[in-house]
Amino acid sequence: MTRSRVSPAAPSRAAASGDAAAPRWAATPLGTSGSSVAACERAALGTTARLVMWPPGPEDAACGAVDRVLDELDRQVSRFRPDSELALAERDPGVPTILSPGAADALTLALAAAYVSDGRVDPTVGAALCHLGYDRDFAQIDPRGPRAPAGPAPGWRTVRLSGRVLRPTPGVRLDLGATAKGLGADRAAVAALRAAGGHGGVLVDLGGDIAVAGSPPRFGWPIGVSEDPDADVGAASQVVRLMRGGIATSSVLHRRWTNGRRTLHHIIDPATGAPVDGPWRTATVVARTCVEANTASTAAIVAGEDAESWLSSRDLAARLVDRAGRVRLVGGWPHHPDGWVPVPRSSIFDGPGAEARQ
Amino acid sequence: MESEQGSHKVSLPRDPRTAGQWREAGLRSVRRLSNWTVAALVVGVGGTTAVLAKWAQPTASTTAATTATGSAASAGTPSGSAAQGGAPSLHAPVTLTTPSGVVIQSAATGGAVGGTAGAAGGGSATPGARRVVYGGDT
Repeated sequence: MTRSRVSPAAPSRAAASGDAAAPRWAATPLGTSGSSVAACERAALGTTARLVMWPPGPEDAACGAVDRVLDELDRQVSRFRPDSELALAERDPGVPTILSPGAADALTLALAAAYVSDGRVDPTVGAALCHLGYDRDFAQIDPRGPRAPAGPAPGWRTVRLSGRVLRPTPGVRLDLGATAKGLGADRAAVAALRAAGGHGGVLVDLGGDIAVAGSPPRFGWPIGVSEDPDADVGAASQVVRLMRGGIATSSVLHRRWTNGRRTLHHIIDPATGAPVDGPWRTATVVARTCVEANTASTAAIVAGEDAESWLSSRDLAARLVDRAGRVRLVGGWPHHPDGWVPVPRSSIFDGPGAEARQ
Repeated sequence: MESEQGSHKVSLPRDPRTAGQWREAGLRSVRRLSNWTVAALVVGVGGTTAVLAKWAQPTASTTAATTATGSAASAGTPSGSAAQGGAPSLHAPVTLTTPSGVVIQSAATGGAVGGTAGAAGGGSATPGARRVVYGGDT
């Protein structure tokens, strides 16, 4: 089974139902027939969305629920849509804009991620990304013209959000790339489970950022870990079991582009405004939610030498891969294949040592 | 055995058991306790073993196919009833956590011609174009 590819010609459930305008989900075989789980996938948010659920049956309703969540999220915070709420708000710096509850929630989480990561995951790196050439959908990046980093990001404390009211700061461009996809997976998993009547369990995978909801399969959801987004699931570096929460992977190996003679990637160190150049090339983290895992995996890459201590202070299990390909396991990440990954009892947004305070 | 209370001597009943009998009784009670302790240990170990066996992780290889186990699947009942009978047991990964892949289209001669994953998924493939999968996101 190959992931990450969505065949344009694949038969879709929506097409089969005659709804040409609806997003196209394609049923995905998971192995032998008679499986008691169902899987389908579609292109979404510039990557591939996959829904796996048990018991099979209400996939159409669940897929529809995921569609709605992803479409809403795209309209709320996409940096590549001129009509997204954030893009519209940034058109008039200084003018207060009332965001929708969903957009305000997404931005609040992005600011919380910046706070708990000590500024390593900062939503104000949008201008730095644009300056480096990542100012459009990744597929359309113009490789011409060398550009130096724009300098440090303005910093998340310059974002003025009060409840749902955003006052865009001049010169600050927001990029929620480090949290939005994880948040989308969390929201989609809950929505899919509700649409399925609350029975069984669901897994939503947005380009490798995975959230689960409901009851897990016996022994948990088996999830492969890989640095290659185009890898076959059978070729995973390791398989782990997830009972709840979310898992996410960040890497500097992919989503790279060449700007002049420099090879750039998309994980920006807010302190410099340049792509991170640290000891870790890939970080995979499990947390109570996918947005937390997403935050932590990015923070680990940016933290560099401090990654292990930061992850440990949040009781997070992680798998780090350094530049030479050596694997470092942190916080109870299983050494053996098919092992359970511990999920922390407290949220990283509760701050370090939250579990001890409970 | 005698004791004095005032000027009277009172005779207390004498335990008829000898020292040997006392020793024997003590040993019997110790043996009885030991037997119960052993029985409790046997039951405890057996119960723990059963629980661990139930929750032990499967040792399936990652190349094994995703299959359903349990009474519903083995009996050939509709998979929907698996939810009532219990969660399925999956032996192979259902997905991967990776840096996110990005699906774009680029011309066969090279050079991106644009198109996001959504466009590619929408069936707007350009004739003569090949699909390229890039990876990576947070």
